[in-house]
Amino acid sequence: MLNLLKNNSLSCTVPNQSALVVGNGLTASIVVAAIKGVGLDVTHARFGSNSSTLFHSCDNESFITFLDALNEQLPTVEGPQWGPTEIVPSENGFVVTFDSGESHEFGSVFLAIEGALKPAPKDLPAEVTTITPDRPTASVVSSVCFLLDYKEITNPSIGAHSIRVALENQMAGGHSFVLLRQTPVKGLLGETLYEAARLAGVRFLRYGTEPPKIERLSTPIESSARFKVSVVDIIESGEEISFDCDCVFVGANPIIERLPDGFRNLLTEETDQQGFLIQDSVHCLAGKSFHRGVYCVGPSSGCVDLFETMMTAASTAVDAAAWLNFANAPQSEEKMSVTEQCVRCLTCIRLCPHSAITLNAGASRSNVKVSTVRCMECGICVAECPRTALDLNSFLEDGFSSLIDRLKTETSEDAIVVFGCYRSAGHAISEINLPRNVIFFPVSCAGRLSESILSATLATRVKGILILGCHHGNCRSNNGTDWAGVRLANMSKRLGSLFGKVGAISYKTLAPNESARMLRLINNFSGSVCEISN
Amino acid sequence: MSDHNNGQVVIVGGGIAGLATAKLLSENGIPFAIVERSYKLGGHTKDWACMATDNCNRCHSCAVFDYEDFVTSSPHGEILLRHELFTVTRSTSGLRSVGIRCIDSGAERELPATALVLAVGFEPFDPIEKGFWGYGTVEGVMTLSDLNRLMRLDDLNKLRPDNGGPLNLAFFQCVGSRDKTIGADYCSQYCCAAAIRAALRTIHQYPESKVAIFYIDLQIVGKTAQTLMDQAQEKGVRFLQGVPGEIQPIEDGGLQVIFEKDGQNVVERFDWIVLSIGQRPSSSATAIARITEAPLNEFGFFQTRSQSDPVRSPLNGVYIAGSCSGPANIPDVAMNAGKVVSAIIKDIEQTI
Repeated sequence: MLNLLKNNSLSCTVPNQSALVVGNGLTASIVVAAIKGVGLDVTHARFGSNSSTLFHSCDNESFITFLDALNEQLPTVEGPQWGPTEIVPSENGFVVTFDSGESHEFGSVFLAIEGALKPAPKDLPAEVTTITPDRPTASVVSSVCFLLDYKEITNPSIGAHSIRVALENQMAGGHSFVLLRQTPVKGLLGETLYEAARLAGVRFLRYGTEPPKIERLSTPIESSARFKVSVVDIIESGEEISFDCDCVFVGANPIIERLPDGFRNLLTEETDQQGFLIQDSVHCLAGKSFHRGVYCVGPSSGCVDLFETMMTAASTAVDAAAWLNFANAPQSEEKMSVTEQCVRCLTCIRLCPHSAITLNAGASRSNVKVSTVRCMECGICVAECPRTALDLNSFLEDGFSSLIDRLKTETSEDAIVVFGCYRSAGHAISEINLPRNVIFFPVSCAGRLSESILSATLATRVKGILILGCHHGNCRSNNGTDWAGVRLANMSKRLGSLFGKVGAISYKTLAPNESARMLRLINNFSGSVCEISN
Repeated sequence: MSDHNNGQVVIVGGGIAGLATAKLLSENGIPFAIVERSYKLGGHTKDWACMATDNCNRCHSCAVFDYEDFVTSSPHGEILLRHELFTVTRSTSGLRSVGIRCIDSGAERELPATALVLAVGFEPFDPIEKGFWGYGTVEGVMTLSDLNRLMRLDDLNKLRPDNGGPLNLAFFQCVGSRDKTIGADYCSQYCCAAAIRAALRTIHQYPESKVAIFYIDLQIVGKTAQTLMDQAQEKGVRFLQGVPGEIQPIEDGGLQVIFEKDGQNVVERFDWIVLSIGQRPSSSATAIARITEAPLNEFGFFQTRSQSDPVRSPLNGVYIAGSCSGPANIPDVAMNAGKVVSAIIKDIEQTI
């Protein structure tokens, strides 16, 4: 087994066994080192600014030691100098086209570009600067004020960094003030740092809904105080406190810089309102995108903490190694079968959430090809194929046919069928005893249930159908569960005239740990269906 | 890697940290064995409730099922339930093997081990320990775990008043966290977001519910946090700074708390008060530390080498995964497991 690991190691030359890192600066270096660390080949495409917006809470000396250690591990990488314009999933990797027009295939791609910080709010004096990872030079011992949570809660990594710098300044003989609404105590030692700063004399002032007032003092003498700060402290005195200080820094949150076009197109559905990429996906691993083999580390995902970025880099590198192991291992079985009924209408290619289907190029009338490593067997394509040319090999259409045949002769008066996604309902069912009138049928994904299956089931002697998919936003196949809702809405419009079974079909969402709720949903449905028919 | 120990990684603890580590090891072709004291895998996460409303709120409690499915069907691993670690044999360069014992039969066994991952998790803070807030004596005071259990069993309706009126509950944050008097001078990392999710989940099921959250400092990070805050504000969840020190039962069966707002003392009545309990070091941490000689830090969590090396124990061959090195939420644990496996791979490559 370890040989497998060794084979994937540094010396490999197979293109889709290597990783591409896109980005410049510290984040990209951290990611490159992490990938090298797990023994993968890596190409570094330089893109974006060289600056760093990674905050760290270690002292300068150990940070330099860290950087030296990192640089020692860093391989000299040669690669395209520009951003990728297009990233297209191939059978077990990605074909990346760069600005230069060159195309290369990689097994895995990492986006590791640097971010930027928002400018200081406009209503503050122009001399107020944003808090950056750099520290004010040690020689300037003065009174410093850090303004956090102004307009929006400051990122805790930036907050913790401010406290650290405030403490350093206080220790060096200066005066430090930290104005905040929420004390950032992130991490195991956050509280310790906060307390150390308080004990050292850093003045923490907590303001409420009324923001502090910062005024620029117009004094002719350069060495005297430059700002007047007034703040209502809501915890200790409740009164307004005013003080003068030499410099004021405001906590400004990160914003995303322009993404390389290739990533923007690939990860369309994985940005939040602020434009940050995946950080908290359904896969529950920070940095792991919905597409297997595509990762996003550092500021472009909204993370500006050095150690967190290192952590994400390491864990995504391991996941990438796992993906490459899997994607390059010989696959024993085809997951899908495609019959000659296929007319290459491309519906499946368009709908596949996993980019698993490609056109079988070459022959004049060849059909589509399914990537065994990418296919997650959701069956959305099977359900939507207008020619019924596709089938999942481990969840065959025949299974539904035999279920429907069985239901035609069903003797129970009040039988209902529950179709449940194996990932959610399939787990939940193990903890409950189903009522006697319920027939449970696990499906690969709620998106597999085609309108024809649902219609055929409803046309049997059953009283009703309950579809249990995963919760919206928690579907392994992105929108598989939503497909069930869409089809149901389509069918409901026609149901009355078709079968006389209004309300006989329902769709609910569920998680694997909701067995008790599953039972309630089934009982409620069963109750309502029987009521309608009586 | 030497042949005699087969390259196997032994993981102590089958909670989400152990499972996440095992999954990544297995995916990278490295054999593993999970040694778990209880009868089941999944640890605390397995008892946690789903927090989805109209959509998934990223509580990640379902991740444990995905991990468990993968790990139990892995050809690279062995799962030993009702077993515990009792000895570690070291070689000059690192580990050689570990001794495990079946809790029920007492049968002992030697497992070859190239690396040992400690993933023994955390202990939920027991508010009885502190004696405040009347947990265990005053009816209506419960913990976030208790609330989760109710949700898991779909019994949230039990909290509704007899007259069918709106459910009226308050969360107290930082119970057993950020508290020097009990040696828990740290933030427990998970509870702010967990309380907000539980509030949203409650309001989703009973939209007329009134929910207040008493906090010291809101510690919510990342984009999920912003989405949660926006949702909470939209649904009318009240955020009140300062956690009341006392809960008084009153005649109508309700709970009365006094807190300060805008310089005034305010008295308010709630039906239920949920204590957002923090994470304490695992009860087995001390014993495991003694057996393995892996040192603990000042809080009682397993010590790691440094901030930039947060998964290696100072002891060669021993790795610390998940919340036994400090409080963590589920995505943090998943990420941490990745770091553990990357460190193991790196160390293996170096010894070959």
